[in-house]
Amino acid sequence: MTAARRAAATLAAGGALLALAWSVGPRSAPPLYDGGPIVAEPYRYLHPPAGFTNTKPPGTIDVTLRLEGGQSPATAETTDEQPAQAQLLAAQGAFTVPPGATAVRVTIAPVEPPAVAPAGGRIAGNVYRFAVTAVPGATPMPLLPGQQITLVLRGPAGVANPTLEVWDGARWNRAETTPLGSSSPDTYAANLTMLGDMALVTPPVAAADSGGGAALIVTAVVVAVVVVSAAAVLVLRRR
Amino acid sequence: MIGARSLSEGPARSVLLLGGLAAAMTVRVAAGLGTTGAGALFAVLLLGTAAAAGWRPAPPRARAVAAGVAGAAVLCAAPVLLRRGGHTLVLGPAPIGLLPAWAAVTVLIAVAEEALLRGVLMDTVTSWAGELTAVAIAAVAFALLHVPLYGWRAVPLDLAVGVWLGGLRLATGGIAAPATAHAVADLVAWWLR
Repeated sequence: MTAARRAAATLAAGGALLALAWSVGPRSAPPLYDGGPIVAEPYRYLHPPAGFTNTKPPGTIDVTLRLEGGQSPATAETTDEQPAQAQLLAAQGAFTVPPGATAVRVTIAPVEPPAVAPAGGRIAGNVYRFAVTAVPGATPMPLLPGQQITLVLRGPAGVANPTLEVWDGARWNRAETTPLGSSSPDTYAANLTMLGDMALVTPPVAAADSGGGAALIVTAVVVAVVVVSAAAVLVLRRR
Repeated sequence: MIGARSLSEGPARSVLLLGGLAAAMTVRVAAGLGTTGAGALFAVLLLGTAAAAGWRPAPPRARAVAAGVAGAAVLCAAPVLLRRGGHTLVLGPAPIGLLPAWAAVTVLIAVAEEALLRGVLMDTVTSWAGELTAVAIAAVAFALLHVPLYGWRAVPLDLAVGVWLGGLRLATGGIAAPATAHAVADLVAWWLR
């Protein structure tokens, strides 16, 4: 195979793989977007830990949206932190519309955590209550069968390996959680079929801002220097 | 004799380059994925590794840059269409004042990754295993590099992106095209949030 044909074949394979990956894979991130992160403001706690930076209170959402063609409208509601600490994304027609409803009310608010702690972990940051109700009235609007919503939560800086968990009134349930990458640090998304109280839950020993971080950085730098030096020596010997 | 020496050095150099890549990523994770400084340090370590292995920057050819822009258009096509259809996650706008520093670090990281992966690593692997193997190894390394950022679910997409960028390298003969495609796709993503 000639060089030109190899290049053409590789590009064709890459294009086909891209099409396949975009058609069946997760769609929560642009294709690369792995550059420098957006600078995050300090986490806004409902109840800040002792000694934590003074911040504004966490943002809330309370909006009323008109129905579109008798269906619940497409929704992308985001609290006002940078990056947002809580987001709700839903496609048009995701929710069951009760008779007589003319609009939907979407609320997102930090709430007191339930008395029951998550099994094998601790809540990192605020517990957020996501709700969608009918207007007029306040009838909760469940998701239609087969529909999903995307919920996004940002945790405190350095939150380690969290899962997004849902409180069902009796216990916490883990959702399949996707990190959003360096573009939105400490932020995680999950596709769900229900609304309610949500939180990020981390393993209790995984404190990212513990003293072990500095040692890990030093070790990693030493390893990097050794590897780069070895590569340089190898190149120089070859010459 | 020379051939045998090259044959043994090629894999060893490849392993060293991949080790450098892994070490740089470890530093980035340890320094905090969510910091600009960690991203810049990561890029400098990659460029250092590439330079130690013999890579030297050269002025890009206009045709290669044009090919890179076209390559970026392909990379961005699907997310743009999905965004227009309301099918992708929208993070919301970021303050425009953050754009210059973000863009500088983003371009630095993209160029550094391409200098190492589609530059010296592909050159090295090509010397002992051929171009197609070089594309495959660089694509796998590229995908694994992004696991700490996006998790394992992003591996198929990043593998595909890696093959596409490898194809640009083969088609143009240098890193200018994949580096341009990579950087432009990253920069466009600011508006795809």
